[in-house]
Amino acid sequence: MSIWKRAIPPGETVTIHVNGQTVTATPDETVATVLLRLGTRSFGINPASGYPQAPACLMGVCFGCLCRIDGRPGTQACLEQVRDGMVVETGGLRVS
Amino acid sequence: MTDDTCDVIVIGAGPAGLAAAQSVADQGLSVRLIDEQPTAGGQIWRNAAVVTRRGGPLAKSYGGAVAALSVLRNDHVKHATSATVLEVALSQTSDTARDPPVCVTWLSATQDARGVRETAARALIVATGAMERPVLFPGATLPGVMGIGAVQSVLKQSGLVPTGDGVVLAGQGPLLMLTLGQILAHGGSVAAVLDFGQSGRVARTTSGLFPALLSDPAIMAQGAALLWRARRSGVAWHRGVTGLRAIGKDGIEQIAFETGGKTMQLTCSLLAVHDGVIPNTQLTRLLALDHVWSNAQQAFAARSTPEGATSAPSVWVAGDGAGIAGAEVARLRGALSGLDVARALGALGDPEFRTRADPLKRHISRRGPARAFVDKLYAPLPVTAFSKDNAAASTVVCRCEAVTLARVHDAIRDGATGPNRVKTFTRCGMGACQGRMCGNALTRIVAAATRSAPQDAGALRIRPPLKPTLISDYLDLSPTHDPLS
Amino acid sequence: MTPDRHDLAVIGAGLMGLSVALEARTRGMSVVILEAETCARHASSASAGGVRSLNRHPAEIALTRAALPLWEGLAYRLGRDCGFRRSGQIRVAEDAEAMQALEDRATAIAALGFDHERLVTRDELKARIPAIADHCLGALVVDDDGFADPLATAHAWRHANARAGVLIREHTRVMSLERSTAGLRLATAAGPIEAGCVVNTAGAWGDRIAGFAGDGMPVRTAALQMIVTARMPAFVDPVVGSQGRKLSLKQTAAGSVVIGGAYKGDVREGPDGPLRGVPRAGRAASNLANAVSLFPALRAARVTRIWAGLEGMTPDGLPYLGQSRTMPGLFHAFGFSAHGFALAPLIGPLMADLLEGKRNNHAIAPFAPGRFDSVGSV
Ligand SMILES: Cc1cc2nc3c(=O)[nH]c(=O)nc-3n(C[C@H](O)[C@H](O)[C@H](O)COP(=O)(O)OP(=O)(O)OC[C@H]3O[C@@H](n4cnc5c(N)ncnc54)[C@H](O)[C@@H]3O)c2cc1C
Ligand code: FES
Repeated sequence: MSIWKRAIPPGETVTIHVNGQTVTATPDETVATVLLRLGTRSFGINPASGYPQAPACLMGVCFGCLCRIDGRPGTQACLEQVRDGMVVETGGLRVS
Repeated sequence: MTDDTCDVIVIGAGPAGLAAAQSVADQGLSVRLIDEQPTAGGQIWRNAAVVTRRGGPLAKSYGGAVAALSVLRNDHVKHATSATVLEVALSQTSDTARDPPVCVTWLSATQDARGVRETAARALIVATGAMERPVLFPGATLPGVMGIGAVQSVLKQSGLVPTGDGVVLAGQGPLLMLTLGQILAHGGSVAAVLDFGQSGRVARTTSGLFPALLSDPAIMAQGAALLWRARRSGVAWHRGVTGLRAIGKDGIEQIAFETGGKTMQLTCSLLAVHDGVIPNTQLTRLLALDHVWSNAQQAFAARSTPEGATSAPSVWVAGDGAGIAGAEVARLRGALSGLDVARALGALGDPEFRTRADPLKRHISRRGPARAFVDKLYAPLPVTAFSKDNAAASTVVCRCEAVTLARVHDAIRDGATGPNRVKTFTRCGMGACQGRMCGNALTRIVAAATRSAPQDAGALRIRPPLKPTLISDYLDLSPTHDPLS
Repeated sequence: MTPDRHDLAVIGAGLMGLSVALEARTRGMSVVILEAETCARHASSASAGGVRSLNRHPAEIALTRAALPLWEGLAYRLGRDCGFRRSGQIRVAEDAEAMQALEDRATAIAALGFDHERLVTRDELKARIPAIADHCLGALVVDDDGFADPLATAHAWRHANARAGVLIREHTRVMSLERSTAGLRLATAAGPIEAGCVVNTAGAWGDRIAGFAGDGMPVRTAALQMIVTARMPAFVDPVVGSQGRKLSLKQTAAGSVVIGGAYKGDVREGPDGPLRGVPRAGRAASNLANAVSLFPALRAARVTRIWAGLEGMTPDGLPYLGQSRTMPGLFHAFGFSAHGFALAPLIGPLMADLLEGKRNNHAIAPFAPGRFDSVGSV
């Protein structure tokens, strides 16, 4: 369950795919805020510590939000505005 | 790959960058404005177009945004969004009109135009703004621990607020109180505030209060109102807190802390922490510019003249990236640096430069005492202030490479006398964030442990690319293309 | 000021200087190392860390083969891990022409009496490195080559020197060199120093030191680029190169892929000679294209850091090893031309033998300091 709630009613919506599930989002959401809203805790596994990691800064400096987005591993989810049809996979850095 | 040339490249589209672009374009020079965010506005005016159109409580903090953003419609300005700088090459050339001395290699990551570009220019203005100062305590890397500014960004970007009875804000500074107010105003909830501010500091700072009031009455009034509203918000307010720790398995579940000689434990679903903001020096370090340490702000910033000129002939800095001074001063400094660049490029004569620059300089210096007051009132806490447990295995300095504070101290004892040595001993700063999250703390830790001045302890060297970059994107770059040779 | 006196002054605290100093100290000399910046600041920590005898210049093969057992024992000798692994080194052929070149090389090397380089077939190559691109036809391998961690190695050596009682003076640039009654006298940023003899291990700055003594020894400074990626799951064991392509690729214990290939960045000059290297994105792109050609999956890897380390390159790509022709007591060991790392453990004992006037089996005539003099050599 997510602690993040919409304070402002969504306007226009788009559809994205998160770990195989279809999700509705608004165009001013970033992938990171969508995942938070969905209640995602772990965005991936830190390759050095083996522990889960998650966003800490929401402004592109902490790299805790790395996801695979449209096939590109290690993408900063907080800088990625959602687009209709976007494919997001959490789980951390992986080689294809 | 498209190659383009312009007069001036501005990196960062916050208040400083937008104002700089405006000044430059006003003199008929062409500008390429580059920002990694999907929309212009920087941190303070995040998602500005949407927020200002919608109105409401958030829009109140977007004063000036609409006017500033109008520069994007200027014919002389090309704005690249979702654009990440990979590298900047500088050459020492005497004929800057014929041989542009700056070449920025950047990745356009927009859906329809992904690819690496190179843009050459006669001057570069770096307006990359600030980041929140990362703070150290056991458990700080657990999912569910984030910056207070980060929480505010979620609200500004996407209209989300945290709810439930496990939301805790910890640290100090105006942003804590502002964000608290904004969360509550948007129907979110905050269970407790852990105030790390040092009691007694207000008294010590009052000598600067009067000049500060004169210097920027609006900001001071805003600050007082924040303080008053925060204290009356009904949120449990713990003062004199130390010994913070976040506890949980795959994410935060609880926090423990000490206050008034007691240890307290709370259930927690979101712990947001804050100890002010620091200049984001990643790009100015990449350029190997001279930097100076500010004792008041406990951070480095590129050394610059009041107009923003740096130690490199074709590079200027503006805004919070040149030292934290707040959004309004960032805007003024941006405008001023733009004028200085126009003058340097011969588009603006000296007398006219002075006519335009002098009022900006007066506005900037008038705000000095207010900034000095805030700097003193919320003087950065010592690196170890959040936690007493420095030996804890979970007190991490470098998140990406999981390097603990204890390990950093071992390295220093082992002869690592500077941040770069700690890096080579421990991998601290070698991970995905490229030293952004540990750099400031590392300088302070090394300086304290070796009893040297932070200025002498120095900072991590920053290597290209400025952000970790997919090899498939690199392959876009024509290997033979070499604009500066 | 009365100068400090030492049996030996070593100029430059890269791996070569650290290796020479430690060996000389072990043999009983009093030793000071003078370093303009900090230990291993330049080529030694910028290095790719390859310990390669594969495809070496014939004049260097015997030295690298002799260095290999020393690498094996180095962690023990220095008291710290250097990250050395006998991973093997492998040079891949991507087309028939390259395969032919490797076969020719194997024949030529065998004719010189060496048997460490061995041809492997396409199937064996694929079995060794399943991730390698399908077009590769075969390879030349040396199984007992490997790589070490340059940073760990530099720290280990610095520590061992400090423990052994070598005086390490950082931020102490040598500014001139002259003969004195007791031997040699050095002017440094921190005052004069007297030494019985001096070893010049000043890397890209070695020609300047040689110049103080009137030894003309040409060296060009190159800023050699290295690229490192974010950690990835393990996919390649040996260090991989390609015949006809500029590439060296390895995966470290941490999982990062380290990619080089002698692509050059820019050299920034300062008042005291080369200052630092500045990598260039376009050349990194060429290097990455070479890597992707062998490992297509690398397209999805992220580059986290590119650096360019300053290295001294000689006209023939071989180092200078030997005594000065103009200043007795001065010895040179520099100009390792992008492949000195592998030799580091051997350079200590080799130079210490020269200092003591001891004979050994190493054929160092090809490395004579005077070999580019128009008049001839020593
Ligand atoms: C999290 C946070 C919250 C804040 N909240 C408040 C607040 O509520 N009230 C207040 O008065 N002040 C606040 N501040 C301070 C305020 O944001 C600054 O004083 C002001 O925005 C500075 O303006 P700027 O133009 O210098 O920087 P910014 O507005 O940060 O603009 C810099 C821009 O540069 C971009 N950029 C950075 N690096 C690169 C790169 N390599 N390539 C491309 N683009 C790049 C960034 O994406 C950003 O858009 C906050 C600061 C932070 C960090
Ligand atoms: S949340 Fe910090 S980089 Fe995205």
